[in-house]
Amino acid sequence: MQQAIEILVGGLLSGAIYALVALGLTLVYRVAGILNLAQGAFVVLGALAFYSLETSAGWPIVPALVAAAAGVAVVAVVVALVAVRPALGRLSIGGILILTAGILTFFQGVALVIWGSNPYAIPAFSGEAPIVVLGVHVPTQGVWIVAALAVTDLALALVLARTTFGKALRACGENPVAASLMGIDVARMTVLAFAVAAALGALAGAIVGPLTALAFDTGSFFTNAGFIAVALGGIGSFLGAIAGGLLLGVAEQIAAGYVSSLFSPTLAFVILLAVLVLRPDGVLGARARRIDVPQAFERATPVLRFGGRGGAAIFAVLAVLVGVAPLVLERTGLVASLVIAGVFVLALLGLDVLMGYAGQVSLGHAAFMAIGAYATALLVMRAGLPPLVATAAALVLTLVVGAAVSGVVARLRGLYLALATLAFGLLVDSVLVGAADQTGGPSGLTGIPSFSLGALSVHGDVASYYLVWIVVAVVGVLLVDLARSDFGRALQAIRADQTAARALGIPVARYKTYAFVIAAGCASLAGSLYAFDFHYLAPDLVSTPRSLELVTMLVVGGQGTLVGPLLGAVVLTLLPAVVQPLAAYKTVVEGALLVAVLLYLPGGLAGILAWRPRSRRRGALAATPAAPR
Amino acid sequence: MTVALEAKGLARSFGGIRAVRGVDLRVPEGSITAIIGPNGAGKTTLFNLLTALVPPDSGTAELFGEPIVGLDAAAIARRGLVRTFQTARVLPGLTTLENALVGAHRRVRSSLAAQAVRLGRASGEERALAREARTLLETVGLASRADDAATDLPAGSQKLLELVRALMAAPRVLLLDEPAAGSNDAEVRELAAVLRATRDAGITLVVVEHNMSLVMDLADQVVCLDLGAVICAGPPAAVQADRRVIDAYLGQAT
Repeated sequence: MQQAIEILVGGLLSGAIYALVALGLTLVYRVAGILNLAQGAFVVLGALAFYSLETSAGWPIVPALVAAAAGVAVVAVVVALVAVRPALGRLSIGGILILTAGILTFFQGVALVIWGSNPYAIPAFSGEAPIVVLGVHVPTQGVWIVAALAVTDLALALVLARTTFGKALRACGENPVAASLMGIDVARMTVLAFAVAAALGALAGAIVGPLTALAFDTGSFFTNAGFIAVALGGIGSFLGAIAGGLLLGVAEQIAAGYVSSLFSPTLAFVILLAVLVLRPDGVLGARARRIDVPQAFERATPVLRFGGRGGAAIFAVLAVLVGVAPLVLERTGLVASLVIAGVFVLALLGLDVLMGYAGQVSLGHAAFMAIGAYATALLVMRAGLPPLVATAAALVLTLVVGAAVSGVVARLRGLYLALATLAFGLLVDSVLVGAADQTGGPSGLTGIPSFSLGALSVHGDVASYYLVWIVVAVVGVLLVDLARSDFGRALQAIRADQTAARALGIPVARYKTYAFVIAAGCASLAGSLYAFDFHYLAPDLVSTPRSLELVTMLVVGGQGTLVGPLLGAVVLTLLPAVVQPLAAYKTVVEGALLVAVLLYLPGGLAGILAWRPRSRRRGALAATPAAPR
Repeated sequence: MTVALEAKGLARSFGGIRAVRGVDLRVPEGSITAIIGPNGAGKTTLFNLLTALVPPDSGTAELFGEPIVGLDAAAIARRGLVRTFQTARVLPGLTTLENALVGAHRRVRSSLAAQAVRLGRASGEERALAREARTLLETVGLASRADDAATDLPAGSQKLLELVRALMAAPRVLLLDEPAAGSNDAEVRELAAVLRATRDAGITLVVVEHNMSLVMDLADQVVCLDLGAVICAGPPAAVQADRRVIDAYLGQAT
């Protein structure tokens, strides 16, 4: 009994932290209709800033708390002004979600540069000795956590109910267009909401610090927890955020206490996926409805084509470059990087079909790489299958999983689809870590043999290079043909306007499944090749951060052209290898590039090279009167 | 005479508003039927019910004798009932030519595998469709803009492009929602010629239109809706002279 109560208390304490993060997410969602994936970064920035002030600079606790929260709020205002505000009304909901993922990446990189990669332990505010209540041990920090949640709840409730700011904020949440017609500056409210949410997050981070190890990349953990809490409670509901957070904390502790600590995250993600798909309003049915005018989020998609003689010339030059590259670069050590780049190009070709053509945002693409990679490695190592057979079997498995996932998420659109794919990715991550007997768990799988076909074995960088790039070329040619046929146009029609697509006889759900399966298949092949080349697999290499990196590469390279994957993967893989000083700033640069390209270069790098249909007039949505003929 | 499209008792309410209340419609094959009526009469909703963008509360609809209520929108289009929209829904991110080619989706016979490896037939089919699309774009004066972003076209041209896209589907029955809206007199005459040629090619047309001279000029049959119900149907001249139509829609010549 006492153990049960301690588990419950522990669950409520971690749940309170999740609730604080979730409150921040909800606040921003209510005002701007954005789920801010960067919220976790504010949590970690707050905690690390607090650590520096309190432990290193010797400030008293309360001033350090206030200063950390205020500092992070200022940072958030800058972020909101520079990166988020310009995106409102220009990017799709999925685009803005990716943007905030970029901001998360950026700040994880910044934290890495400032605080290094070692985890920090913040001393408890009121001593380490737990309070004993009726035989139940409660850490003193728990009192701080509960107090923080209570105070912020009360403050938030008062502000929302009593102040003009609160009313304006709720108006933005209910009907942004009407709110702006009533003279409320929705963009300014968004910036304010970001600041308040960031301060809340920073506070949460500083206070939870003593109970958890904090490192530069803990931010995504907090983002995930907050986002699960929000989804459980119903996206957009403040009460739901608190309830969802507490629920998640308790569920996790119970699973860890009674089932297995390795699988407790898996359980959380299964619940999450089920809720997103079956009860998108949350288990409490408390989702606040927003009335958004969809056109406000439509951005005129650039038309980029690589057709004609110019395209053929570019293709020929590329083919020669790819063919001779290892001969020229053999001594530089860059060939190994080019092998990895090729693997990413392969995965990205599929992602481009799914995201660039069909318009379905996927934040869990690396999960398909993981399935392909682990299945291949295990089939070769444990079942002794020849590499080619193992690769094919892994491909079939991934295709089946891809079709199943597509079937499950088919009804979801926009934000919910992106979140469901994120949840799927996290689920696969947690299974890889949890099934340690098979996968080697967090420490990974070593000793994967090279690819071989009969007596022919692919050893060394140059041989791997040709293997990978030949596969890239074959898949690339097939997909380019497909994309420039009826299939590609049908997918683009679905991305542009599902109603119009259906009215023209395009079976939308079936074509989305095709796109999903193609994406999964490419990722599976990429994963197999990755395993053969690297001889080593670990969850880190093919988990959610990798999914976000793949999205970054695709966006930077340019979506919807099948040329972008090549540019994005090669540039982002080679940049840190060529410019060594950049390596330390890799994460910062990736995050910043993603944000900048989303905002200012809608066609990505491919957009610079592409032949653009000659009229470059902007404001495509503005109807101009018909010119006399 | 074959009946191309027949609706019986189609009805649909939105909340308390009965947008369409028991509409019967009989469209003979190879004819042009015009649907007229004041704003809010339920004309567009009727199209939405026929094409399954909105499911009817009750009633039946048949396309060449086959029931279509209950099928999804894509299945209905694949059976040959194709429509355009009141505000042109040109697809952003695609060129004018590509927009037109999307319309041909229901006619494409090459498998995905054939499209991926560009087998002879797939590539021949693609070329043939592209030729056809360019010819149609030529007819409506858009050939010179075939490779422009379709959303860069002016509104009137976007309506024409949508018509071309629908024609590329080689529909059996084509529903046009205000094809002449926003066009000047010369463009309306051009449009009338295209529509007549379309009918003469054997395609059955149902046209929602406010331009009465176009309706009188073109239609074999006119149906007038008011408050969600058919108030009059028959030959153009008879409908135009009908008391109820004058009161509800046309108004008195003063």
